[in-house]
Amino acid sequence: MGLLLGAAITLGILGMVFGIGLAIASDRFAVQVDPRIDSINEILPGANCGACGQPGCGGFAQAVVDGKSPVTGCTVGQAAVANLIANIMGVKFEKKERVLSVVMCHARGVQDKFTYNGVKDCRAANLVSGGFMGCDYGCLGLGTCVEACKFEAMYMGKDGLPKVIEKRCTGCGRCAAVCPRKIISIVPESKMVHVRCKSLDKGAVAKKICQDSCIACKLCEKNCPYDAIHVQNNLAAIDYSKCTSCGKCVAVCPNSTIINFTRERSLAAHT
Amino acid sequence: MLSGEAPIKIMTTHQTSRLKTFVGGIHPEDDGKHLTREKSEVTAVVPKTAYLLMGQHIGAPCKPLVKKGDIVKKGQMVGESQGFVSAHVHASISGKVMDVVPWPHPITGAKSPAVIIEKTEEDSWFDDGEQPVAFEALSSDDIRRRIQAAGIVGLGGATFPTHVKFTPPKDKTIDTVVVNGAECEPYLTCDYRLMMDKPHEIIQGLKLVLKCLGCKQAHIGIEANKEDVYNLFKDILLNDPQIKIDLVEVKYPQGAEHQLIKALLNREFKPTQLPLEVGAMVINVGTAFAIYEAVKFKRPLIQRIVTVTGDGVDNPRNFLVRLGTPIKQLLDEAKVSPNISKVIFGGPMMGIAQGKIDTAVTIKGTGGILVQKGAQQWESHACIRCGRCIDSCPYGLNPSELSIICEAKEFSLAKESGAMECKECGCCSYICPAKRPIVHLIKFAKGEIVKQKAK
Repeated sequence: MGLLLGAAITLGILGMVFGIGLAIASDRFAVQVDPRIDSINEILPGANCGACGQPGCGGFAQAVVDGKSPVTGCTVGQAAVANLIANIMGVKFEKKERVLSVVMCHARGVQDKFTYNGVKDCRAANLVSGGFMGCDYGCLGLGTCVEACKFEAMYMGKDGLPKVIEKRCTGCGRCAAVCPRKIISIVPESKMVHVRCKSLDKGAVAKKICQDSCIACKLCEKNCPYDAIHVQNNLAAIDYSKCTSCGKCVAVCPNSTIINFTRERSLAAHT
Repeated sequence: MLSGEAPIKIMTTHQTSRLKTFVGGIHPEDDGKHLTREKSEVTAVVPKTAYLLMGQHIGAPCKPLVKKGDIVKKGQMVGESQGFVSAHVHASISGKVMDVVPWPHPITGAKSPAVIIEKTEEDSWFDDGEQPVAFEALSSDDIRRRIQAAGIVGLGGATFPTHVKFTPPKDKTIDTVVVNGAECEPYLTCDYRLMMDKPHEIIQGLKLVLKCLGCKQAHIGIEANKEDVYNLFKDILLNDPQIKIDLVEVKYPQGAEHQLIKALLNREFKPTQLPLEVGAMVINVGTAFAIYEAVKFKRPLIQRIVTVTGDGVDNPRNFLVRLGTPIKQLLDEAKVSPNISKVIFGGPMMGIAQGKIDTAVTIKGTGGILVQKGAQQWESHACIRCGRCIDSCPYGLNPSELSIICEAKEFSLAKESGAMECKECGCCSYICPAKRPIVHLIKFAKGEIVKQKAK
């Protein structure tokens, strides 16, 4: 009995000493964490996609509090999240327009250069003789962008090209970053007209390779009332800051390279 | 009779095991050298149109010095090097510049500018008007300058500019120049041919290299399947105090820097380090010959020996090829069969398969063109963890693990596991019973690691 009591008292005293020690240590050596970091972290989507340019959501929360990132930095959370972060930080924010991924290739009737039998990844395929595809600039169609998407907003279409589910797309830009041929662009949602070609080949060469290629005929450039489209290096490029999506270039394009998304989007909205 | 045969067999095994070599590597089953080895005639090929790529070397591509309509002479500089690691490009034929356009590179597939020359003039050398200087009187710096002016790059295939290689950092000393005459890549016999035909020139070139580097000794390594070359050199080098020569074991990749230095000098260094770390430098016999031509005759590098071989050509042989010769012309010269399935730049182990034969042209690093009729196609499977790739890897890596990591696209983990130390020799892919594209996976990861680093 005495032994039992002795043990209990010893352990009790030891426990008390350690307990007091820990209590003092936690008070004395406490790391000061800004409570705002935790509350911002709770609001963020938690996909750790890296679209803000920070290493994951935790890094972004820290950066916002440190003043290194704007409150609108999270492209995934868009206006709703930006608003909440702005409330926590006690600042006002300017609403940024939603951005989306657009696949700028419409490869039609393109023959392969050779049979590719290697690693099923666009980046790996692009290393072999500059890619197996007949067009040196077009989509290889092995789905690396689809695999990279963290929001299940992409799938491979029946035509072998990746498709974006615009409802789910957050404009984080992961797909654009992994594409070895830089075919995917991140563009504002309101812009409806896009040049769906990346070929820098001369018109005659490009036309032989792909039915939908830009042949650099400059009809779009001549017909644009806003000076928003220009042909450089055998390829038409739209200046989105000037483009009003009027659709004049779409009407004159002889090769259906320039596409107006208005109809596709309204169809998608109904389904 | 039986008792008489047995000792001979034992002796041969002993002889092979006594030869110098390294740990790891493979013995390719079909070395294919017999196809071109005995053909002593080297046919010169002068193209009607030469396509001179401006990026023929490791480093910054050249700036074209000529424009459409210019008349150039053989040996005239058409591309000036840009930056420190770069080498000039010279016209390989005399004629008119047709155009300067982007042209796909046969190794990377990326487009870089190319000067296209059509042969319209008589095939004569460009005269720069300088008085000839006796090459024996040249100083170390003069030799380096002539090498630079001739646009010489490492002709073993890596195409690293030679004058840059010969400018080592001040704190490093080179005591031995190792000459690679191993030619371990199956099917290729271009170095063998050169060594048989021009042994004196190679040794002269090597002496110039020694003078340029201020180095006392050289060591030539020849694979044991080229005993005739060994005997030839041995006779010439009789009583030469500077240059040693040794036979090395027939094993792939015996001609690689790390493996050749290990075999000949018994010095080891990390895969990420240069041979400078152990006071050695490796040059290919082809480079030694080009240096001889450049220093003695001031001839720029505009031609080299190319082996055109494989079961896809009826007349496999070695050709003396001008730079920028279209592959089609070489294949026609070698009587290509109509139903070929694969054309590889280089040998079967490290060569690069060509996507488009129409646009492929030779560059400074092209030592061979392998044409296959019935190229085998395999389906790759999951790793069965047999470990044969680990045994064969000459750099002591774990290719099995690396391939799995790279397949999962875990690039930072791949970097930690030593993906950047891989030299893409291909031993692991060759030996893999599951036919996994290990080298392709590692190459893919290496590219991504470099991209991430650049960000």
